[in-house]
Amino acid sequence: MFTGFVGYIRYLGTLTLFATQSIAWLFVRPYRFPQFIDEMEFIGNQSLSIISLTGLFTGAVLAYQSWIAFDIVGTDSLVGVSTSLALARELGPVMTAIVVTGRAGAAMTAKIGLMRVSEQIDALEVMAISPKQYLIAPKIVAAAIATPFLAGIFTLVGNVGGYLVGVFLCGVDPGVYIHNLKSFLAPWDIYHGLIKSIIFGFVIATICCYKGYTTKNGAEGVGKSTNESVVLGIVFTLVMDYFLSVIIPTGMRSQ
Amino acid sequence: MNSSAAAISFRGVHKQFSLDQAPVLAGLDLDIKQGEIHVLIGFSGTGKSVTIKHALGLMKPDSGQVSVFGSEIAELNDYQLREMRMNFGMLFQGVALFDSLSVYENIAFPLREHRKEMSEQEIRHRVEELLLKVELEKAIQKMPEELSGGMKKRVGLARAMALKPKILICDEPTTGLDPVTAQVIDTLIEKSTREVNASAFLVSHDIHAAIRIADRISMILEGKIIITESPEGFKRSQHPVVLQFLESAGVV
Repeated sequence: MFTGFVGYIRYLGTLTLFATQSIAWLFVRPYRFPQFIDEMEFIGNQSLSIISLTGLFTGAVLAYQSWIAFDIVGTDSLVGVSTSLALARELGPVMTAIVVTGRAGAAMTAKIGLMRVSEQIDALEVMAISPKQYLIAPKIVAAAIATPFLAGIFTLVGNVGGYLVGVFLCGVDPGVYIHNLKSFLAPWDIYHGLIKSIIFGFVIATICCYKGYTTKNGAEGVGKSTNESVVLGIVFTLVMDYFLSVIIPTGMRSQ
Repeated sequence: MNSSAAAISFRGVHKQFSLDQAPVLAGLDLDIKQGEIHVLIGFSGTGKSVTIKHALGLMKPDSGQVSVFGSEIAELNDYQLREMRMNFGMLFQGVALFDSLSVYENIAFPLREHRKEMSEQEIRHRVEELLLKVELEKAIQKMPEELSGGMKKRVGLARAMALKPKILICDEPTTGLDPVTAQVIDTLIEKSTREVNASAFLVSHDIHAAIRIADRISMILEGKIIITESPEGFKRSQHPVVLQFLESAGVV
């Protein structure tokens, strides 16, 4: 249906319309706090262990690889700050977005898709309940709020992993490691990552919900939608990451 | 209220999903009167379920009008459409119970959404009353996956009647059920609607059930209504397609 460049623009327009219509329902009674809390628990709380685990090892490997490079030129004291900067500005938000897509996003698509093909979404509509209000809006808002928290935890745990490897495996002086980290890591590096995470969470949830909402053709369609939502979620994250990195002002880092 | 006025009215409704296929609805004209049980029958793929989706505002016609109690659906905004849907109870072909909720929660769901004034105790009382009517009071805590096809249909009917709708719509209510269970479902539908003087609009290909419970029967063929008659009149019809349908079902 959508082909070529015009097709991509139309698809973006469709996604934007879907997100806008869903968010508009947030301001209509009854407010869906219980559903929002459930989604926060699912997207946020239930992702904590996997985010911590991936964060720990991402920080560890990043510290190890950067130590190899820095050691060549004799600047291994910069391992801490390079690890922290990479985690706060890039790897924290991006890896968190990818994990959220794979864990929560795929589940969102599958659940909504199954509800669509088994007429449960039609049932909601016939009961005079807006599926966008009841199902979609709480997921989008919860993802936009939970993802930066998860990215923050990813970055924090990643720094612990980086410290453990940098100090205990690579032999960087702990005092120098922390001193350089404090000296060169600015608050805006953290804000930069958190702002990106809010946008990633919002977009991922929109894509995954939209894919589920427009599912057709039974069980096969649910599988196809879920697959597409994960692929699209990851691709959108990586493409957006570049543009957001450019758009979010780097100059503010010096403020 | 005029009992012969239309609860749902279709006027010249056309619907075509793609240009290389024949239209599903090709100038459909049909009235569902207030208080009547109206069964729409037809062969598979003749547009029965699409007709229902138009009545509920889940689909919009390419041309023509669909009205519910005199309000044309196409002219309603989202909020008005929501209000309009409060008139309906719907039993879906696949029942569409929420599979993460128990039988009790499924039936309580529309009450919790739309009867904010009801206490939890009143909701429980209403759910138990509905389950008693469909003879499933012992299944109150079961999950949908634990129910047989017939039981699911009965729970679906209880949920559809929870808000005391003015119009009950059923999409193939007895498809896939054995004849005895099918008759139980038909009887429950008839009893539930007659009790509250609601209209019922059923689509089915079960002519036996239609003759048993309907006030009027319509038959759809190639997107148009070819006959609307009382069950007796329907049985006497000499229309060749109706005759073929009746003969194949062993009615005549």
